[in-house]
Amino acid sequence: MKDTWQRDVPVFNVPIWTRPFKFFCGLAGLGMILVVYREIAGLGPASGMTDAYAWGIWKTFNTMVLTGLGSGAFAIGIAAWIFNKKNLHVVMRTAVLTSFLAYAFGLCMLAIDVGRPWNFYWFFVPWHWNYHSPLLEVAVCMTVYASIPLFLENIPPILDFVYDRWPDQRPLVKKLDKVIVAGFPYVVSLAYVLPAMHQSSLGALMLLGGNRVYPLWQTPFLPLLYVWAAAFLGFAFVTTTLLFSSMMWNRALDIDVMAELNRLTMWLVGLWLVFRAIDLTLRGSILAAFRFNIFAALFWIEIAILIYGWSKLREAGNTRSPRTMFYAALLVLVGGMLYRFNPTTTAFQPKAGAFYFPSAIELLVSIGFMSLGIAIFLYAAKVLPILPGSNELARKMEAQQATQPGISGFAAAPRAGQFATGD
Amino acid sequence: MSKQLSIAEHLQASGVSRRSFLQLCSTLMATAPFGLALTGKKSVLQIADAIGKTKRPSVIWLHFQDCTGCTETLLRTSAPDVAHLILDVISLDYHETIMAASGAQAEAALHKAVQENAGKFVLVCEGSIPTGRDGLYYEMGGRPGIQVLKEVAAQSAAVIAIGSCASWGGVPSADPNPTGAVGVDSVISGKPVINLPGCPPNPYNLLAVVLEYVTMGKLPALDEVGRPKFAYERVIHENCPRRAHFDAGRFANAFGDEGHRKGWCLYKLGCKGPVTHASCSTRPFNELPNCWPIGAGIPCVGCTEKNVVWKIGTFQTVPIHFPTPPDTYPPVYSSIGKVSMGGAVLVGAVAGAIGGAALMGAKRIPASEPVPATTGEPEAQKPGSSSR
Repeated sequence: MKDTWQRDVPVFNVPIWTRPFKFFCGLAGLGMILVVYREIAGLGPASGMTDAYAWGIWKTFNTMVLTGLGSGAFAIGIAAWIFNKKNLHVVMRTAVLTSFLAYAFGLCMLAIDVGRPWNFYWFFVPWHWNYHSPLLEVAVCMTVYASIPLFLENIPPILDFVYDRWPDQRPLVKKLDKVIVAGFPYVVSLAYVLPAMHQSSLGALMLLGGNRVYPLWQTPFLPLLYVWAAAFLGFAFVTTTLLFSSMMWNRALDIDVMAELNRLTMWLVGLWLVFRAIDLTLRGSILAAFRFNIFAALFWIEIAILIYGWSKLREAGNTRSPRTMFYAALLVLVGGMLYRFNPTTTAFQPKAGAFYFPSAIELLVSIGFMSLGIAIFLYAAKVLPILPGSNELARKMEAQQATQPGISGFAAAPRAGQFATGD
Repeated sequence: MSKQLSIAEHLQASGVSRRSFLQLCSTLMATAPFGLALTGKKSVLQIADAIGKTKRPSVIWLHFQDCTGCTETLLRTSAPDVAHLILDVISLDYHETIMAASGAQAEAALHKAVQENAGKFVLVCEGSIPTGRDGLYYEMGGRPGIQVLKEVAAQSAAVIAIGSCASWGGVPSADPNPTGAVGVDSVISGKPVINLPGCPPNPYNLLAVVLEYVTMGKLPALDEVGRPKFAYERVIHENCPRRAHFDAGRFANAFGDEGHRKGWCLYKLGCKGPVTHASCSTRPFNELPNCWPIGAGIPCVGCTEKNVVWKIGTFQTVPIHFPTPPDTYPPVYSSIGKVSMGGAVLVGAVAGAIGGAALMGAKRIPASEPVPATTGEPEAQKPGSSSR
C-alpha cells in the first residue's frame, strides 16, 4: 500500500540527547554567552559594523533572510486554507514550528542589535513611536505576528502532548481546544495579512535605500518581489526540512504531498523569474548586468542558481524523485536567500568606500541563534506531534501506547485528527 | 503735553497703527520669552494693554566715550517705522545725537528734563566713563563727564548702561587704557545699574528693560555682573544655529575654506560663543533672520564679556566648559570595515558544514519515487535503532 501522511506523528522512541542535539546546544550556549559580551562591550567591539554600515548580518541575515525561510506558515497556509490544497494540511505543523522559530529568533536578533539597549523600553510606549518609519511597521508587525498567530498556531501540538501525557488533564485540554477552534479563523486571517505586510515592508526598506542599492536589485517592485521570494523560500524550506527529517529519522515520505509542494514552488519560482526579467528589461536596469563588476557577477550567480533550481524542480515534478526534490529545494533556498541578502548587504553601498564583513563574534551569535532554533526543532519533533508520519507508523504507535501509557504520540484511536485546528 | 498721555493715546495721536504696535509687542515677547513680568503675560494683547495704559517713560540718554554705535542700533532698524515706533513708545527727552538743539540750548534742555522728571526718569548711559586726570578726557558743557553723570544719576530712578563701554569700559578701556575708562557701575552708587553689554547690544533688550520698569514697576532679575538674565543668562554656543556642526565635528579651519563656505562651526577660527553670555544666537539684529556676526560667517569676539573680548586673542580658541558634545555622537568620517580573519574562517566552515551535511543527507534520500510497500512495515524505525 502507498504511503500517505497523517498529521502529527512524532518522532518516536528516539533518544533526545544525541550527538547532533548536544552539538547544536553547545553552539547555542556559546552564542548566548557572546550575547552577554555584546551587551556589556557594545556593538563596536563585538561586531564588524561601522557608522557607515549599520546593517550587520543580525538584521540582514537573521531577520531579513531567515524570516523568508520562516514564511512557510504564510505560504503553505495560504495554499492550504485559501486555495484549498487539502493535502498540504499535514505539513502545516512543520511549517508553523519552523516559522515560529525563525521569527522568534529573528526578533531576538533585532533586540540584541539595538545599539543602546537602555533605550529599548521606548518600544513599549506606542505614543513615542515614529509612525513614519517602515522599520516600525516591520518591528511591530513581526512582533505581533510571532507572538499572536504563530504562537497560537503552535499551541495544538502542546495540547496534544498534554492530552497524551497527563490523562487527568484531558477536560482542560478539550476546553482550551474549544477556545482555539472558536478563535482560529481570526488568527488564521491575521496569520496571512501580517506576513504579507512585513515581508513586503522588508523590501520597502531597501526600496527606501534608493541608489545605495545596486540598480539590478533596486526596483519599485522590490516589496512585491520580496514577499514573493518569501513565499517560495517558505515552500522550499519546508520541503527541505521534511526531506531531511525523513532521511534522518527513517520516516516514510508521502510523495503526493511532496510533489504538490514541489509543483507550487516551481510555479512560484518560474513566474518570479519571468516577472523579474520583465521588470529589469522594461526599466533598462538589465544593462547593469553586463558591466564587469562584482555586482553583475553576484546577479548572474543568483539568477543562475534560481534557473538551475527551477529546472531541477521541473525535473523532480516529472520523475517524482525525492532526491531531486531535495536538490531543487536546496538550490531554490540558496538562490532565494542570495536574492534576499544581496540588496541588504553585498549590493548595498551606504557610502563610497564603506565596507562590511561580519566579525567572528557577530557570526557566532548568529550561528548560536540558528543552532538554538535547530536544537528546539530537534527536541520538539521528538517530543511533540509535529512532523507528519505514515498511517502505518501512527497505528504502530497507538499499539505501543496501549501497552506503555504515558508515551507521547497518539492516545486513543478516535482522537487522531480530532483537533480540527491542528495545523 | 504728550507726557500726560498714555502710550496708547500717544500712539493714536501720532498715527501709529494698532497693527505696528502689536508687532512691537510680539517682538518684545520674543526678545524676553522668560524672566520679565511684562512678557510673562498670557498674550500679546495683554502686553499691549499693559504698555498702552502706562505713561510714556521719560528717558534721558547721556553720551560718554563712545562711537554712537548703540544709538545707531536703536535708530537703524530694518524699517524706519520701527525706530519711530520705539521713539513713540518711550519719551526720549534728552539725546545729543538726535536732538536739534546745541550749546546752551542743549544744556538747558538737559536741566529741564532732569528737573521735570526728577526721581522718575530712566537714565541711559552710552560709552565708558574716563576717570583719568579727574575726568578731563571728556567734558560736557565745560564740566567733566563724570561729574555730570553723578549729578544726573542722583536724580534718576534707574540707570541703564547700554553697550560694552558703559557696562565695563569697552574699547576705551583696552590696555593700556590711557583715559582710565571704566563702566558706569563703578562710578555710580546708590542707584540700580542695569548693564546691557554688547557692541552693539540688541535695542529690544533696552526696550524690554525700560517697559518692564514703567509698566510693572520693577527691574528684571540680574546676573552677578548686572546683566538682565532674560537676555544674558545663556551662552551663544547653547543656541547657536551652527551648533550641530560643532557637535558633529565639522569646523571651518580657515576663512574661505570649504567648511567656511558651507557654514560650518567657526570655533576653530576663534569663535568666543562658548564663553559669551548673550542672546545674539536667538535674537538677530535689525529684525532680519540670521543678521549677527556668526550668521555672517564671522567668529564671535565675545563683546559682552569683560574678560574675553580684549583679553583673549581674536583667533584664539576658548576652553569649552559646558556643555561639551557627548562622546556618543558619531564622528564625521566613519571608519571603514574590514574582513576579520575569524569571520572569514567561520563563514567558510559553516558554509562547508551545511553544504556537506546537505549533500551527505541527499545521498540517503531515495533517488526515485518510493515504491508502495507490501510488507506492512514501511518504516525501518525500531525503538532505539537510531542514534539521531
